[in-house]
Amino acid sequence: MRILGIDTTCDDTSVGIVEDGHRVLANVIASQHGAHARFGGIVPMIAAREHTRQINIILDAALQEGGMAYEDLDAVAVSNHQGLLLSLVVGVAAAKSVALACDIPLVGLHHVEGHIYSNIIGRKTQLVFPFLCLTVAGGHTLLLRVNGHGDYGLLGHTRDDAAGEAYDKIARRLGLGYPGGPLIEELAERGNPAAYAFPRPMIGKPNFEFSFSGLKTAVAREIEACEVAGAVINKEDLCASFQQAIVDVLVEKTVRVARKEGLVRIALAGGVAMNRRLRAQLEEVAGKEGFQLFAPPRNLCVDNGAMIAGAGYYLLKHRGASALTIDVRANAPLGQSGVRYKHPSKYRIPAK
Amino acid sequence: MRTLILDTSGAFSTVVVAEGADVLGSSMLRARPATHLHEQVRMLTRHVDAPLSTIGQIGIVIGPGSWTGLNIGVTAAKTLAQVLTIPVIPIKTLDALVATRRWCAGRICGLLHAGRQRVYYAWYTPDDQGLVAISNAQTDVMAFCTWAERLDAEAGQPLVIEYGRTFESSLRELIPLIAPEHRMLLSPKALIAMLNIHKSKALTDADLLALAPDYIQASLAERDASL
Repeated sequence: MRILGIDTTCDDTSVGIVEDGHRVLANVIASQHGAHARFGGIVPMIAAREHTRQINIILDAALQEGGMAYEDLDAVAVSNHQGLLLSLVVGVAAAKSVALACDIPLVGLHHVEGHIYSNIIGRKTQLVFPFLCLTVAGGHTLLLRVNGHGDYGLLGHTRDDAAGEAYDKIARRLGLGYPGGPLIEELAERGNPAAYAFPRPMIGKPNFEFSFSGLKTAVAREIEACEVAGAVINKEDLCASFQQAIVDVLVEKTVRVARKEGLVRIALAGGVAMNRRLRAQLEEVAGKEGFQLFAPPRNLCVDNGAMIAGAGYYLLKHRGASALTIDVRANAPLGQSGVRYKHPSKYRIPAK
Repeated sequence: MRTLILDTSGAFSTVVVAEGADVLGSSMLRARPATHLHEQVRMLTRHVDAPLSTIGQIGIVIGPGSWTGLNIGVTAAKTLAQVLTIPVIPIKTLDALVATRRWCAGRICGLLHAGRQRVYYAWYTPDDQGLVAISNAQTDVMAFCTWAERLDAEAGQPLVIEYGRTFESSLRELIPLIAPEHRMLLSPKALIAMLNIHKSKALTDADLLALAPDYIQASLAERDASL
C-alpha cells in the first residue's frame, strides 16, 4: 500500500511516499529558512504564502522521485493538528484535493504522531509497544507513553517554551541567524559546557514537566551583562553551557519517567533529536540503566512527509479514514493525561 | 467544455460547475473553506452529475481577498488540476466584481474592503474588448476617497463603484460615489464571464504549479522590515 504524506505544519513544505508503512520511496522537503532568516524566526504569513507557492512543485518532485503517478497512490495522509494554522490549511487543502480527485482515503493525523512514527518507518529492528517517546522540537517538548498504534498517554510537556524554541531565541539574541539549533550546536562543540552555571529548570521537581523560559532569560541576562560591561562574549562557551543545561533536563526527566512507568524502550523524536549531544548523553545514560534507545535517522528528525505517510499507513488500519471535512487545529492535545494546560480552552478535545 | 470554478476570496465559498457559458449548478456556503470547500465540490459535482473526471478546466479567484481563503482555494484548484491534468484559469476578484457592469460607458472602479480601514481597488476603462484594468492597488480609505473625488471631477463622467464585502456605515459615508447596487458575492455569471475573457491565460505545467494568490500586500513583518 502506497501512501502519500504531506506536512506543512511550520516552515518546511514536505511530501513523502511510503510503501506498507516502512519503505520510504520518496521524501522531498522544501525549506523556507532563507525566507525567514532575516526576521530571526518564522513569520506565519510568509510561511503560509511559501507553502502555497511550493506545495504543488514538491508534490510533483515527490512523485518523480518515487517514480509514480497519482493513480499509483492508495491513500493520502496529512498532519492537520498542531502547528501554524495558516500553514496547516495549505497542506490539508492539497491532501483533500488529492483524495477527492483520486477517490482514495484521506487520513488526518497529529503532527507529533508523525514524529513518533519516524522511529518505526525504515527500521529493521522493530520498535515494540509500549515505549516512552521524548519528542522535542521547535514547537513542542513532550513525554509520551505510546501504548499501541494511535494510543498515547501524555506524561509531561513544557509549561512555556519548547526546547527548540529556546535554541532559536538564544541564537537570535546572539545574532547567529535562523534556525538556531544547528548553529548553537556547532558553536557548542568547541566550547566548555561547564563555563557558565545556567539553571536546570524543574530538574528536581517530582513531576515530568519542563520549563525553558527561565533558562532562556538566564542566558539573555548573561549576554546583557557582558554587553553592559563591554566584555567579549565567548559564544562557544555560552552555547555549550546553554545546550548542556537543556540536555541535562531532558535526559534526567526522560530516564526518571521511564523508570517510574516501567518502560524499557525509549524513543527520541523531533528536530532537536538531531542534536548530537542529546543523543550521546541519552544513549550513555540509557545504556547504564538498561534501557533500549531508539532514534530516527537524522533526515527523518526534521519535519518531513515520509513520517506522515508512515504514520498514515498504521493509523488508516487502526482508526480508519478521515472525513473530507476534517478541520485544522493549531493547538491540539495528544493522549489522555492528568496534565493541566495553561489555557484549557485552547486545548479542548474534539467530541468523537 | 465543462468548467469548475472556485471562489474562496470572501465570506462565502462559491463553487460553480459550468458547461460553456451555461451554469449547470452553483453552491454558495457561508462556512470555513478549510473544512467545507472539498465537500462542497463533491456534493455539487454529484448533484449536477458532473464527475471530476469530466471537468476540462478550473477557474480560480486568486484575489485580492481573504488571505487564508485564497491560500486554500488556490492550493485546491492547483492540486485538483495537477491530478486531473487540466489547465487552471486565474481570475482576479476585482475583475469579476465589475464583470457584470461592462455595459457602463464611464470609468469603473472595483472596490473591496481590505480591513484595518484600507481598501483594495482597481480602475477599469471600457474598450472594444470590454473593461480594461488601468490600475490595481491597496490604500487607506481616506486616501482613496480623496483621489476618487478628484479623478471623478477631472474625468467629468459617472463613476461606478462596486464592492464585495459589507462596509461599515462610517466607510459608506466616506465613499459617496458607491453605486446603489451592492453585491455581497461574485455571481456565477460574472465568474464565467471572466473565465471566458481570460481563457487564453490558462496555466499548465510549471506555470500552474507555481501559481500564487494575488495578495497585493506584503506581510506586516515584511513591511516593517522594508521601512
